[in-house]
Amino acid sequence: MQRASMVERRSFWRAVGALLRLPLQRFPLGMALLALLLIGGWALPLVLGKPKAVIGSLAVHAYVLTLLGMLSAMVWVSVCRPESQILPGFKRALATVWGLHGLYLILLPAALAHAVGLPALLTAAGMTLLLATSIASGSGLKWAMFVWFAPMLLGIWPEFAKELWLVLRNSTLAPLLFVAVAAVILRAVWRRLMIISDGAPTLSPADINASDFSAAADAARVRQAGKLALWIQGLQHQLSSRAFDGALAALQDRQSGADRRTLQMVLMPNAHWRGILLELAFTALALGLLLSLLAFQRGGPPPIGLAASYIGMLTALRFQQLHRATLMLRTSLVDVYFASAPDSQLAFTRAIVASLRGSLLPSMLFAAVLLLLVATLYPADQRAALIGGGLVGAFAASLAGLGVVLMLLDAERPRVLLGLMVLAILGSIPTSLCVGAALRSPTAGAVVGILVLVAAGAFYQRARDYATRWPIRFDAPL
Amino acid sequence: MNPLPQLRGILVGADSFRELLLQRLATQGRTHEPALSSCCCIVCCAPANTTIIALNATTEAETPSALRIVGLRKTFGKQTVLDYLDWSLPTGRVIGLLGRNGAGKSTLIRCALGLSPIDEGDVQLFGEPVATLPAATLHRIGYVPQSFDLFPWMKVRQYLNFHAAFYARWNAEMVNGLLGRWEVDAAKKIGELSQGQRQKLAIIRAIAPDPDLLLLDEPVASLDPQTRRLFLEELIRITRRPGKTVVFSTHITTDLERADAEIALLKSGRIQFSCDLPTLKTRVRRIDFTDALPPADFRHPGIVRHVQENGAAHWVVDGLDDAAVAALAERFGARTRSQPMSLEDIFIELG
Repeated sequence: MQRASMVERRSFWRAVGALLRLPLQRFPLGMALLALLLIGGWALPLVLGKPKAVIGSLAVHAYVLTLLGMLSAMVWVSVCRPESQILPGFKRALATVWGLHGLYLILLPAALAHAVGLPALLTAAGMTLLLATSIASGSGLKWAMFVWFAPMLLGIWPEFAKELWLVLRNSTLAPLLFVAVAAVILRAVWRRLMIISDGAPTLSPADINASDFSAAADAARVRQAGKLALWIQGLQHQLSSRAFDGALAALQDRQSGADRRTLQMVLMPNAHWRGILLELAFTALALGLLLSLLAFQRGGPPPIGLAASYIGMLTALRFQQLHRATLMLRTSLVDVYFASAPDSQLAFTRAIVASLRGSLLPSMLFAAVLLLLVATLYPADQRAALIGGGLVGAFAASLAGLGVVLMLLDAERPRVLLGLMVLAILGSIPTSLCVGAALRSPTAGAVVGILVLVAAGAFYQRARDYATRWPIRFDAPL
Repeated sequence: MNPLPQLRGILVGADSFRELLLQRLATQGRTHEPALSSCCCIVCCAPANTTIIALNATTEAETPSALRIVGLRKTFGKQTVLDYLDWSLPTGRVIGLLGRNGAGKSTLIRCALGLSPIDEGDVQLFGEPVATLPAATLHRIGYVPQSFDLFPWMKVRQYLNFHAAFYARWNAEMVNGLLGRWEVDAAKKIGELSQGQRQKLAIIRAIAPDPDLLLLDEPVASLDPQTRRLFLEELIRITRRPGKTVVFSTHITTDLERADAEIALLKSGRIQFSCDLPTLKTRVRRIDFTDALPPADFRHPGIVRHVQENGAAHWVVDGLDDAAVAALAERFGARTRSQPMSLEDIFIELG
């Protein structure tokens, strides 16, 4: 009996070790860089010889903790399938891994903060909340993405952030609140990871216009997604189904361009005018609510360049989903290839590339809605510059984003992190440049706008040539 | 709810009780449920239209079940896939689960393991409710899913080591042997493996912890004949050891015959019958007519199909014994010859 329990204990700790190693096996380079960054951050006070450098160490630690939480959660999501739950002691082992991560990621900075006279409890609670949020984001919880609006907003209103910090620092309840919120988030993540469901059919992973409630058909997910989400999903499915029927009818009638339209509907089922309008309505509603809330804040609107860069970044980041999905859809495209019977496989590649151009219009409309709504925060004399420059910049960002998708069309596996970083940069820079120049003078705006568009156009052209150089592969991504 | 499930759950395939049951069938007033038309009973393979007795509580204790399902109902939207299904597997059996595409074989296996939510019913593995299986019970279970799409980024060796970490028993020697014999490259990423190689890997992973209950969902669908033969040999080797129970769904009926498996047929959301192959083959036969032919529109309980073409006729009968067939043939002045059917033919007729 004793021997049996010892064997079980040993296998349990082996399981914990295996789960701890998973992120290292999945992202060896990323994890090595994060470890180096963490060590570097901790070495800062020693290297600089200044105790105040501890704040820098804590900042680096928070950064590493965020990325580590997100990457680890991405790995856990891939492992936490129903099949894994019949592994003996799986849940207990994973819970232990969470605890161990918490130990060194939360207690170490708290100890360091305590050593230099910073509020240790608040540091630990803050790190806990940050870790919970990053795990939630990495595990794909949609609402967790909204949490990142908080630091973005604090960055926009530094005075308010300073006041908030003072209040939190002096409050005895703040750490408790942070830990309570973190517990709620972690519980939601845990439930999501351990959910046993049958899954549900999706329209298309390539759909950057869908609200992505597609995995929400069974009872367990109904509870998680909520009835409103399911209603939206149902509406999207209904509209796209109607649009697809229309495209097929046009194809039967041999209308010109119907084959391209059908392929587009397969790749992006919601990229039709009704679907786009629906998405724009939801975007306007969500942003309108956010802006209404911000109207109550003090300190005025954020710097206009910053707002423009965020809009450009959000516009470009939509193409990350398109990149991931074009890879996932590759195997399914075989059917379309045979059905459409193009002259050659290369012709089919060209048809796909041409169809993906259909993502530019909804992206531009998305950017236009954001710009129009955000422009209400600024004085009338700045609005035209923001909207005009923003539209040009967003178009350049969209071209660059689509270019990235085309360049990676032949990739063996989705380049998630690379894509996110590149798209964020390609999205934010041209938009802020265009708006900044337009604010100085219309002429400067026009000149910079043309330059940016030429650069983005050249990049897109280059990417398109690259993508259409050889036939598309039908292999599933690794 | 149907009152029989509890009883069925206790009795399915319980050899020691069949004898007892058959002796006492006539003494009680409850009618046996024939499986399909008049095939064997889903409870104990007893002939149709016999009666069944209620057993007391001690029966259950004496026949430990590896898997026990009572009143399982599973729907997908408006479609009912499993309709108050009852099934019980005693330990030490090899059961081939047959059923047409979409009959719900995979769903049944997933529900049995708690991998798919159920609408109603009770599922127990080794006497433990499936929703709260302790680690000790999970150590005794192996599963091969129908499609293997997990962990594409992991290397084969990493994948096996990852799983090995969770198990108290892990036959590393057998794993290495099978990797070699089945030509699965341990250094390759799972995403780079062919479907057949993935299936081999899933089988290796499932049998490595030496499970007492092994559930395989179409494990040989993507395997070449050589590997299929090796797999069956491995399976037979496993099941020769005492207390091992194997359930595998497949459409390759010759494999079931080779593995000497008991046959369970899933149809219309229920297990229609569960019995050993010789019994099934005795019950379901082809009867060829000579001298005279029965009328083309002749119908009789136990005749599954009547085929008449080119001046010849044959019946496929289910549960009609020789005496009954001879009596029927005599009515038409015909002579008959009984022909055994392959499992595949039986499946086509009954499935």
